[in-house]
Amino acid sequence: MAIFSPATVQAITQVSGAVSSVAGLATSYASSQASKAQGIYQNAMYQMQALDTLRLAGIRADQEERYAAIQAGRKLKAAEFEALNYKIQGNTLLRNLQRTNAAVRARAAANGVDINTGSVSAVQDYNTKASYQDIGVTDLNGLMARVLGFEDSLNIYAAGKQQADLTRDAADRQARELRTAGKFAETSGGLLGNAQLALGVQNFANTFVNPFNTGGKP
Amino acid sequence: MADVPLIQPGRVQLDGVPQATLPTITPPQVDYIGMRAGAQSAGQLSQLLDRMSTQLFGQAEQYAKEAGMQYVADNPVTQAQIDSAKKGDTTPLIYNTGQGTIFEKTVKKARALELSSHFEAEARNELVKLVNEVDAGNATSADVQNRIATMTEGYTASLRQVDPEASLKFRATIATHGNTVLKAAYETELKRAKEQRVAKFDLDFNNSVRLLEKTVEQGYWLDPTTNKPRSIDELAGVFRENIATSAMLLGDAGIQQKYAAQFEKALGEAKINAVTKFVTSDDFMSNPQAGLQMIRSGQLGKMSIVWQEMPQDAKAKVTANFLLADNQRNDLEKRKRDDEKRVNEQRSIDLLERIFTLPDTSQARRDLITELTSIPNNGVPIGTLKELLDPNQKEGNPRVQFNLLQGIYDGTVNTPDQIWSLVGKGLTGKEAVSALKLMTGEGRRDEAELARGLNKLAGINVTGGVVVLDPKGAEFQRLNGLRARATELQAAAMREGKVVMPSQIIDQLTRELEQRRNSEQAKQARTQLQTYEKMDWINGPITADKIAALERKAGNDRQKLQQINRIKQLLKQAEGDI
Repeated sequence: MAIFSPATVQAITQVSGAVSSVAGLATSYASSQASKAQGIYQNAMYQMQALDTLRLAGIRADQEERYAAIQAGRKLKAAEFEALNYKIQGNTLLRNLQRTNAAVRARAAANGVDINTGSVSAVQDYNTKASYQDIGVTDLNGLMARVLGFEDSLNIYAAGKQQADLTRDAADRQARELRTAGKFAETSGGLLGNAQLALGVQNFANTFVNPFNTGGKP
Repeated sequence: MADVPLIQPGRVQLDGVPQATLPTITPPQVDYIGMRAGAQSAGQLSQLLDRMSTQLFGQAEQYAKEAGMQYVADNPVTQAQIDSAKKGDTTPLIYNTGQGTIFEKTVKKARALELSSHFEAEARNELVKLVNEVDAGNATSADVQNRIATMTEGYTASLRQVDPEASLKFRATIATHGNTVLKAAYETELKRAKEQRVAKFDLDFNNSVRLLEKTVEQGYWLDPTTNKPRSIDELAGVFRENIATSAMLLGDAGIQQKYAAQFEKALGEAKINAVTKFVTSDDFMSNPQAGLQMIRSGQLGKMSIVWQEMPQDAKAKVTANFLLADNQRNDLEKRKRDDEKRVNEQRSIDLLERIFTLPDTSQARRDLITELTSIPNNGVPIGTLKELLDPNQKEGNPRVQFNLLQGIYDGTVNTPDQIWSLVGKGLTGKEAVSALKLMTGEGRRDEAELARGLNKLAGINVTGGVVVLDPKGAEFQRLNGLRARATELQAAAMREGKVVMPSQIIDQLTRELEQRRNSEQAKQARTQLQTYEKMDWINGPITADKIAALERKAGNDRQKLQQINRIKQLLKQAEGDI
């Protein structure tokens, strides 16, 4: 024995169909909103990523400049020390000249030879000439060390500055890209959501049957 | 001055120019994700638009199709349009705007299907008519083929203008049904032709067999060249060959085998029949002993050659036929004699019945006795005849009468001689005649059934042999009582004009007996018997059979004898005896 009459069963079927259609529309709306939300969320993620990129790039550029300054200072100091070493070497050569010529003069004097004339003087001149010849080389070495060290230091510092600039610039570009991607993600999510909603509305219109209509016609 | 110290120059060298420090600048990689995301978004958008347009166009197509179907449903094809289409003009059917829209195509397709359905229905109707004509034999396969082809071509051509697909479908459908009808037509034709050939052959075969039988009856045939008798089997070979050739021409191995087997069977039977006819002829049967000897020796005159070539089982059949014919002949003669004897016996019984009613000294009695003695084979032995007609006969013995009746009912007494032999030995002549009448009477079976039933109810065992019955005994008395009651029942039925069967009487008597046995008195008697059964000197179940043993056991003990008398009474009461 049937529990429900055929009319009741038909009414239940119509109501079920209507409920299904409405539920489908609701699902489409939810899906549409979810797509939009996903686009906004993706945009936010990209924005965050852009900010992070900029911040990290600033840190990295500052560090690069700092490292370049330190490195350049160290290089300058090394050149100075090297020039000093060459100066000490020249002084050593002068002390040796002084000592040698003193010996020449002492011997000459001991032997009763005039120290400012003759061969004694010539030996002294020779020694002086020879020593200054080496001192000139040493002086040149010192000068070169100073000049080259300064030049290297300058290069290091300039390179550090340039690297930092590049890092900042790239970070700027990356941040712009991320922001652009975020905008596109949000736009796509919105469009997709709207399209889903449109299809949902269309399906609803195709499937909805008004259960309160006689004969079950929409 | 030799030891003046001199400074040697060139001790200091110029320092080499070192490698310039050239720091590497690495430009950081930029991920152009924005452009990619843009491209991806554009792709998604494109896909989305594709999907939407597909769905919307699909929807639009669906609406257009539905509209087309609706149009066709609202405007069904008319009979005039169908008639026009049958003539090849489908213009009125086609909705043509020249735009080739889906609506138009749908209308076209629906129209084509509608038309196809009409055509299919008509074609099926035609095919059914064709099937009936084929079954009735009014249409040949060629007719069927032509009509199907014409019908299919006509309808297909009309449909093709509307929709080629519907046309193809229609053609395929009709081809399938048409092939079935065509196949049926071919099969019917083939079957009919084969049946005709087989019928013709069968007729020819039967004629051949009849000719063969006639030839076999001759026993042999004379060779025209040598003028000597030759075997029938040689002639049968020609028949066999002809039949085999004709059967094979029918193209059916089964028929060939069937008729080959039938021929061999017919030949064998023809030989048996011919020889049997020969050996059962009056001439041959005049002396059966000599005839049997001739059969055994194979000397059968013109049938000798046939006989010699017959297989052993066929010879056995002929011998059996001969013996059967001989037996039948003997039986007929015996039956004739028996009939004569029975007539004479019946006539004798009638005479004897009349004789016994007449006074001993009457002339009529003497005349009847003279007539009785003049009947040949009257069945009454001369000695018995004397006894029968003896006026001073002794009284009959009931025991002898009972056993005689029982024997008649059982069928053990079935000749008059058995009755005649008892005359003067417990049976009077009159009783003998009554018994004889009963034996030769028609209603004996019913009487026998009633007698058996009454004996059983009375407790008389008559399963075999002669019954030793005490005329004063309880069983005999009970039997007489039951007989009297049965006669009462029969008389009552006759008064009411009813026909009662013996079984009905026995059933009625059994019910009455049961009622008596189940009466309070019978139950009380059985209860009292149980008391006697527990007595020390009895100690066991008491039945009527045990009475004699108990009497012996009691001896001269008066008290025990009194108890036995009481037991007898109780047994009768328990059995419901009247």
